[in-house]
Amino acid sequence: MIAFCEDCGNKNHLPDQADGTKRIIFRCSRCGYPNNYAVQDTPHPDNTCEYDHGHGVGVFDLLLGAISALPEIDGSFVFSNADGLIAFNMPGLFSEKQTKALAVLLEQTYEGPKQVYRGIKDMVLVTQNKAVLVKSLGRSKFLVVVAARFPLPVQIMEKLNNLIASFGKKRSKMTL
Amino acid sequence: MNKKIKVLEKIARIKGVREFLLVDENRVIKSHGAKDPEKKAESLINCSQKAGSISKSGYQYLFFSRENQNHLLVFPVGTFALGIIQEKGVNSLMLANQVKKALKDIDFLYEIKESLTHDR
Repeated sequence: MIAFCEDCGNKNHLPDQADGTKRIIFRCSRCGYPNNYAVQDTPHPDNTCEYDHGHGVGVFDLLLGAISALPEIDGSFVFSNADGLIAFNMPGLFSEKQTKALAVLLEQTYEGPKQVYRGIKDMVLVTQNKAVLVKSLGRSKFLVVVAARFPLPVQIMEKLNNLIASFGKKRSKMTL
Repeated sequence: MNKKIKVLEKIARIKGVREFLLVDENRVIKSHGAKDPEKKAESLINCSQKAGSISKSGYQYLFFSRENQNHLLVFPVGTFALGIIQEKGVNSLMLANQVKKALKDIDFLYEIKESLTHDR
């Protein structure tokens, strides 16, 4: 089985676990981080997809996989102004169609104030029982993370930020 | 004291509120410390309406982080939208909770309607 490191997002190949395993414990083969986290149910194929719009298939796999494995995180997806939904991992939460509709509304919500308020970076939409974090991944791409609550515990927020930061560094290297 | 002043002063007095802007679809109801309020009004009401349509139960608030640390918070107030710019270094979550409480504590819509009637 494949497990993502919570710290650096590295893809680790582990021996297959017995059915019913709820937690996986392993040390990351790259950074050595001691991972110990709950395993989510296998997502329905309809709720996980990756598009190739010229960005390369699988580019966002690591990021979304690692984010969705964090506690208190319900799912995540990436969309762009030009290409719409690029990748999503929303197990048991939204279908592809629903995620696309959500992406359009979030984009409109996020973009409006950017026209008149300078220097807007991220957005958080807080509802009664969820929080939706929208983070810019450059000029036109956005990462959306659906969380069970807001604010997230500091440790989880730090891990989330680290994952995004390390993803950004990797992307920069790839671009160079 | 005019009821509108009473309501909005309560929000303006919250520590960390640098500027606020209360808007509806057609106009700026009240602004405090905001530059170009008319320009910002349309953007605020549009984003509030979009956010409100995302969840069946609406939304509690929107938080926009900004590079200069003067973060923007948007609250739904009935059909109005309340935009608040916070002071640097203020705890945004605490501020949001205080504003939410202030909005709950008062019959905001009633008082706004009353104040609009008085203004005519």
